[in-house]
Amino acid sequence: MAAIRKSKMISGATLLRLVLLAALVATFAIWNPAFISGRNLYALMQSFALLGMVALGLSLTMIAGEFDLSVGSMVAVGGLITLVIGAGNLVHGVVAALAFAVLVGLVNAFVISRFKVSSLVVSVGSMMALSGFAFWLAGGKVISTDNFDLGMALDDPLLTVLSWRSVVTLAAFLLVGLFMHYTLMGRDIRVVGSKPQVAAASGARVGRSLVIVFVLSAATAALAGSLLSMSLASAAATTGSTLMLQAVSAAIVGGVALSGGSGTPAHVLLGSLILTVMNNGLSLIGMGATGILFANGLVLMGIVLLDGQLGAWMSERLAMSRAVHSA
Amino acid sequence: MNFAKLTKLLLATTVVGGLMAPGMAFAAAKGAKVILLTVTEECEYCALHQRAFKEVAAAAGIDLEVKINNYDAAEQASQVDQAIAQKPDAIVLWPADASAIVPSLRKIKQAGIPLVITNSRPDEKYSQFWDVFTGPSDIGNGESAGEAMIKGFSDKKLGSDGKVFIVEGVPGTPPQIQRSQGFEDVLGKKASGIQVAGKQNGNWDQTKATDAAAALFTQLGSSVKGVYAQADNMMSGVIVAAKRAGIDPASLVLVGSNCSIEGVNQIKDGTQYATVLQSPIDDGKYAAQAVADLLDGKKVEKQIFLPHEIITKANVADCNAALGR
Repeated sequence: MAAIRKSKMISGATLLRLVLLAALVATFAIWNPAFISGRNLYALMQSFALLGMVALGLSLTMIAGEFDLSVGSMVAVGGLITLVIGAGNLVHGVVAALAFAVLVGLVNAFVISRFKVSSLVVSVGSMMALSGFAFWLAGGKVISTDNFDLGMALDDPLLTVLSWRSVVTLAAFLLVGLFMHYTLMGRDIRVVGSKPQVAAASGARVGRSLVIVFVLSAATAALAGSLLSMSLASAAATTGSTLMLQAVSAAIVGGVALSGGSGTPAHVLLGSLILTVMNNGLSLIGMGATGILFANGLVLMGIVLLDGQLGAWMSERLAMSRAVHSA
Repeated sequence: MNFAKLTKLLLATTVVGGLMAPGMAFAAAKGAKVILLTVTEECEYCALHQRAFKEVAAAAGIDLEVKINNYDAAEQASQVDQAIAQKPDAIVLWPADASAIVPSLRKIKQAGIPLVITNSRPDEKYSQFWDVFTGPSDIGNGESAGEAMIKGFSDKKLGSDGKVFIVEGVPGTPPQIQRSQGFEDVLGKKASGIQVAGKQNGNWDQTKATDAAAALFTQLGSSVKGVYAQADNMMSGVIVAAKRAGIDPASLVLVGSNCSIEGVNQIKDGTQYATVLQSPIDDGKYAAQAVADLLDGKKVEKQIFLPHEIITKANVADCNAALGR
């Protein structure tokens, strides 16, 4: 904790989330020691691999002050393309799914910026169109494959708790985090989200920011769908129907504001982990699906309410503590 | 739930419990940790299945944990990972999706945990991954419908020849294919004079079934002596179409399926001849009994199908009892 206090990188809001995550882990570990068993942490990271990847892309659009409602449908389409195009070779399927996602991201960004339409409206349209496309691709069936090998390889435990699937998600967080923190484009995206008029006047690349966030949002969703379909050796048009809301929750729990401009991939990582830990832990202690959904709602509301109050208080305490240390 | 329903449900579950309790030793099942991974508790069938399962598991002394995924295949995959981590003595699993569950079944097999699949059987070619399947058989369901059709011809004195048609579910789904297959097999073997003269898809939907039946009544006219609708709600559509075509439904042998409330009412008022019962209580009970037997080291059949009782006006009360109404 002392190290955390000394760090100037950490805000009250982040500390609040770290404390919440640690409290959740400690509570579940005490309640049921199986929670911290390697195999359960592996199960937890498998859930995170899916949710985190979708939340990462979606949160970028939120940081840019926009919204991509189509991520859930994109997960289904990504999975279906992977199995349909990749019938002979799944790698071809993954490439095709990513290429298609880039195209969808470009179209979304183009329509939003060229015709000045709200991203909410545009992405409702693309969500419905993608959903229709998914049902057409699936032809009313579940598409499955007997090729379990790649899925098994992706899901095989690595260092006990990880798998290649969760490593890919963690790597995506790292890459996007570095991009947002160290590049001018990353700064532009944040500025566009917080002060769009100022951003345009000061020369921030508004159009390009939109293209990047919507392409990344679609691509991460499609990649999540691709990896999931290989893992399940099947894909259906209804996959991902609840993922969009979970991903929004993860982003908000992580501290990404709906109004745009705030939040980082590291925050989204924390938000995704908080939700995954909570869901895994509650399931382990025997809570039903409805109870878990209820708990999710409470945490989401609690975090939003606390952010204003406790986050500010913690920031103040941190500032005071820093002042004392530097004095 | 009103008092009468509650009483019936209690009676039904008491009968289940009563059948299980006496003379059965659950040496190894007693105290064993079993995880039931099921789909939802928000459909009547699923809720009754789960309740019956719990009753029998409790009677066997099983330490049961239930995980529900709301028909989310990805969520179920992660629940399987978690269940394996808990090292239970056995897992009972209702697949959210019979294809997407296969890699998870493989993981359970690799972990060496005994597995009972309930209700929805994945493709037979993966059967090495599970120990027992218990649940409905759509072929058996169709066979019972065929038997009911033959009995109806005899009861209504329609002779041993005549044309019938089938209103099917969503094309390509296992119940649509297998129910028709069972139905036609039985007619072929036992009553070759009764011919299936037409088939149309009703997509499990009453309106669609009305259109499908109307087309078949127009095509086949008054030569139709019977109709098999693969679900009772579709039979309601068939009855509407028959009336519009000027045919008295009570003069036909109308055989439905599922014992749904429409079917029960139509059987009571004499417009529908029969339906085929698939009991959710039996479904849950069979799965729990199979896992208890498995844990006790008893020899258990690889596949245990539910009985598909034929329901007519004479025994329509069985429908309500079986569904806890």
